[in-house]
Amino acid sequence: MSSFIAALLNPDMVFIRYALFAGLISAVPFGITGSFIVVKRIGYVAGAISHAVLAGIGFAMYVNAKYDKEVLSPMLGAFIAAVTAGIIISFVSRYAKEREDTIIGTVWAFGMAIGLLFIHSTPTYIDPMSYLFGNIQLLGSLELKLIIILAVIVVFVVVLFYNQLLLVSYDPEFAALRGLNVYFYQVMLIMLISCTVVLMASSVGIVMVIALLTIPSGIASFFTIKLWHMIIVSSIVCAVSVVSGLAFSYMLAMPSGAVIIVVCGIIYFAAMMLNAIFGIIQKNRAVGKRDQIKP
Amino acid sequence: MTENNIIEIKDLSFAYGNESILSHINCEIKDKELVSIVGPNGGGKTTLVRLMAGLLYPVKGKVYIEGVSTTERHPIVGYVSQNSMIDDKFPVTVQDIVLSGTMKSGFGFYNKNDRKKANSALESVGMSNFVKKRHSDLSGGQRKRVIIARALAGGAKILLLDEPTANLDANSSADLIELIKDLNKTITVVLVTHDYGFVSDITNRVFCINNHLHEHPLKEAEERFAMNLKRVDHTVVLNKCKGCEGKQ
Repeated sequence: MSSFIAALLNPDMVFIRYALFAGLISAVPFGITGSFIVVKRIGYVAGAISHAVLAGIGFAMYVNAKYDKEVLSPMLGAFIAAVTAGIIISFVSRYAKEREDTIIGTVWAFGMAIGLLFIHSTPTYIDPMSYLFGNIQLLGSLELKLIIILAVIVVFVVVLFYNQLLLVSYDPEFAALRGLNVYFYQVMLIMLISCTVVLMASSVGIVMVIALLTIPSGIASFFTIKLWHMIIVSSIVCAVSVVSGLAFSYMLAMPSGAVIIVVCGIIYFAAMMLNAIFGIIQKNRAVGKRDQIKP
Repeated sequence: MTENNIIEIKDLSFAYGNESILSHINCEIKDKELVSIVGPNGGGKTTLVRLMAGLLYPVKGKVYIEGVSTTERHPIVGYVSQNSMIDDKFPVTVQDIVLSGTMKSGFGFYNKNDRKKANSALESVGMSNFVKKRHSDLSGGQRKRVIIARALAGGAKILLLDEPTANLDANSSADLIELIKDLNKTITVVLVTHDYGFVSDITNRVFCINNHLHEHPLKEAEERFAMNLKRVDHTVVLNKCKGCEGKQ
């Protein structure tokens, strides 16, 4: 652990500090949108958006290589692709009357294919593994600034519309009866997911970002009865996973994205077992009380 | 609008695609009446109350609530659907659900007044002690009460209840009917049911619907219900009624 702390304080290893800041800042929006994804059971939407992001990254890399200068930051490219994918999913599923899973599958695969074609056509060699599975060295000061802006937007919007998003999530019919524009809030939620996906796409990779969106909220769901409690617990779990994952990945010289997700997965299985044990204890107590009442 | 009519339905027709569900429905419901709607499955009972709630729009004709068409939003209409839309795993408490009854469009938080309305609504359905309970921890009857409280918190003057006793045991059904009877002292209730026996004591009027609508005089409905008691489904879906045989 001391080597990780030393690396954090080392002025030459600024990328580790960036990765740590990015992880801590992203933990709150991940906790928020992740909780909505888990309770609404729309992990597949987040999966499609995160994979479609490769189209934007590939395009940015291609344009930058072609003009031999940074015309478009890969993260900004990822953001544009994520928002476009979100708009397509929301719009087509409502107006084209297509099956939702077909559209999601199409956006998922089409986005990745476009991204790979751009990467293939880029004159200089790019290792797609860095984008698929994460590389903390991809984070620069511009990326960090973009992460801060997106995180603030996500938190601000959710705080402002929390009650509306909550109602639309659990009872859209009643929300419509109260005069809420249900479609507007559903699109808003998908846009928030798009923003959040981009936040950690560089650190953990576009394939594994979906795990960071769902696992911490899944853990929180074992122990919470209110959505905002779930958001807080999920954000804490996310922050703990990112910090400890980064530390272990540095100490063991392993890929950061994979280690973060493994840490998260271990916490999930531990929480699941704890939850099962508490469940059995509570059940036994209830049976005991019932037996005492019996004449 | 005729004075004292809180709901007016004028020459209403509705169809899903080419399939006609309701044809030329006309009826008026007075303030603080308790009206039952009975009919066979697929006869259009749920469609009619959803049209009254403004969740569906008529193909032809209009539904008026206090003289205003349901194409406008009506916060005075509370609708309790047959099946709860709330996912059992959703982390939402009784308080969250009832407070959402006071929701306004736009953004913002609940204020003191909203909380007061929610508490008073919970009290009126006898659920004040369950405020902090998770929705999934409640029984079927308690869930129905919470959904009714949500409608009351929003200031409902009309309560549209779609099969409120479905999936409830006899005791819970009887308790719920007592509650509806109490609520009917101050608000209008429209009750969709296939089990007329449960509501026969409290209902003011009975409409039978099967594409067309026909009003049964109460006495006739009771006699027909008694006749049909021996039937397996215990329904008042009757054989020789113009309304019940309406679908053509």
